[in-house]
Amino acid sequence: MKLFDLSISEALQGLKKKDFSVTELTQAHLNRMEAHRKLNAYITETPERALKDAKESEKHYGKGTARPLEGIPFAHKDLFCTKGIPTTAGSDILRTFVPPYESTVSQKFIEAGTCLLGKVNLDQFGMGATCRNTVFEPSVNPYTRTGDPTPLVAGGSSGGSASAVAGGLAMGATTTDTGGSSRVPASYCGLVGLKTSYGRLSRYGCIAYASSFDTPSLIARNVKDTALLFENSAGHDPKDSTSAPMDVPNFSNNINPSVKGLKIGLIKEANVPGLSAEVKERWDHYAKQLEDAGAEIIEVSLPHLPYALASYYLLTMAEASANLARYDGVRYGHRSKDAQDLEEMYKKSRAEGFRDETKRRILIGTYVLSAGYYDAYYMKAAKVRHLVAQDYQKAFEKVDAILMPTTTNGAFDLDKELTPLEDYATDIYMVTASLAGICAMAVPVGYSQEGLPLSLQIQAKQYNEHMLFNVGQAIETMAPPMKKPSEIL
Amino acid sequence: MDIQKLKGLAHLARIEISDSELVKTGQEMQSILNWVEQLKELDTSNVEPLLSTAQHNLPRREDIVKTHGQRQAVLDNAPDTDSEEHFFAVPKVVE
Repeated sequence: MKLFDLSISEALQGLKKKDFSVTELTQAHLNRMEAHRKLNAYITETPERALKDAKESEKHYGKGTARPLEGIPFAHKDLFCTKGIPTTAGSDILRTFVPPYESTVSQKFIEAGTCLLGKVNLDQFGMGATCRNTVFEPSVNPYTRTGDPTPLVAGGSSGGSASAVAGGLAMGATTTDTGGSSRVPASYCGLVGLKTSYGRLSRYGCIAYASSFDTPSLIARNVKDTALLFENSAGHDPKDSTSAPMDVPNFSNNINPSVKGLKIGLIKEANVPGLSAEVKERWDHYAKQLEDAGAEIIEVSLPHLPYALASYYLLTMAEASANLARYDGVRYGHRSKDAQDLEEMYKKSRAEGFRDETKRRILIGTYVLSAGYYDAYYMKAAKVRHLVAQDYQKAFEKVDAILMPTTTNGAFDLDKELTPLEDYATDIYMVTASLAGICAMAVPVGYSQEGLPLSLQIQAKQYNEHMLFNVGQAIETMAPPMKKPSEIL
Repeated sequence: MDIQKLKGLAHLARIEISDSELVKTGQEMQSILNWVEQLKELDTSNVEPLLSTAQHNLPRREDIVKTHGQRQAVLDNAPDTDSEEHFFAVPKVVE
């Protein structure tokens, strides 16, 4: 038995029964990280902290005061501020930034007893779907095609989270999902990727991309582990004025995989021309399986889905231009060495500190918010956002959950070039949920002919994560088991 | 996209763009702006904009000033400070 192959719930059982110690479990992960640095999953490794956390957890087990995730080796996306540990957002502008405070979500994982292995890679500020828009080497997918060693993208923006968890370099990880950043990499790496409802997890200390879309989220290897992570990180936070005062019950022990009587919707507009035959086949297959298990399958419509990408990108670029205005080279982050005066300092620092894609988004955001264009672009997009949200409202009058693909295809070559618009198109199934603020979850459903993970997505009403866990576990039980890290690499 | 307009945007966004980058950046931005034109197909004359999906009537906390007592940790992140490390320093702005 390899300790890094265990699920979180299996590891918690093993620790309780003293089959192995927290230090052994943590060290197994540190060794695995060292052996697979080529995945570029981590930006900053924190082995000393991990082993110190492990000793602390051992004391808790010894005293019988073990907390819910006591001793679980864990990683944070490098967007979550961690006190005293560099937090780069995958950018040069924050390359040297050491937060003097802790984000609420990472604080909750400290209090739940996790051992911090380090900070993982991402498309900078969450802007991307391949984890290549980072100033570090792009994270690599632990999977390769059968008999073909060509490296593949891990997906993004939370590529480091997915690469680490699929490869056995962490048992679970935080992600964020603004427009698919948790679900896309989960799809490509054969993991469960949750996008939480807007307002469920606090954004305090989570570096902002588009504030009305950003949802701190989670990745793990199965549905139960995801529910465990969710119940230990969700909850109202007075430090985030958009945080919802919703109860956080025990989700993980109350998953009900019986779908008898549930109404599950298939979105007819999701059958887009780019959808691969293999993903379409899985979608049909699991809809049929759910029907055979007693669910009622109903076709529903999101008539504005074809417009969702344009609305999403306009709004998030506008919000990004405002959020990223704070990087001015004055109080923290990169400052250009060549600036003669204050204005030049701003302009050169930002030119040197952001990658091209980030600059493009800031510039378009600035354009659509500027006088004369605000109504035609920004307000128009916000109205279309309302139409998408209304589509969902109507759909959820008829169904309890929606089943659709996560991505149109499996992972692709790491060196395959995409134009910005081709890159944005990856998010076709992602952004409707983000526009509407609802929750969604990617669930792996076996492998393609080429041996790559395929994924389906479940969506439910805002704050109805329990529905995702129920339907997700039903599908997980029907699907072939996914490979353990040691079977992947 | 018109080069003068792009220069104006770059100034508003405080991002330096070299002359050699201007043309390519302008073209990429224009292709994205052409793509979002599709939204004009939709009649939204009677639709309210949706700017947030946060729950309504969220609780508010008291607006109380708190000191975090971390002046040094904050200044440690500064690219430049005065010689006594009490303030952020920037290039001179007044003659």
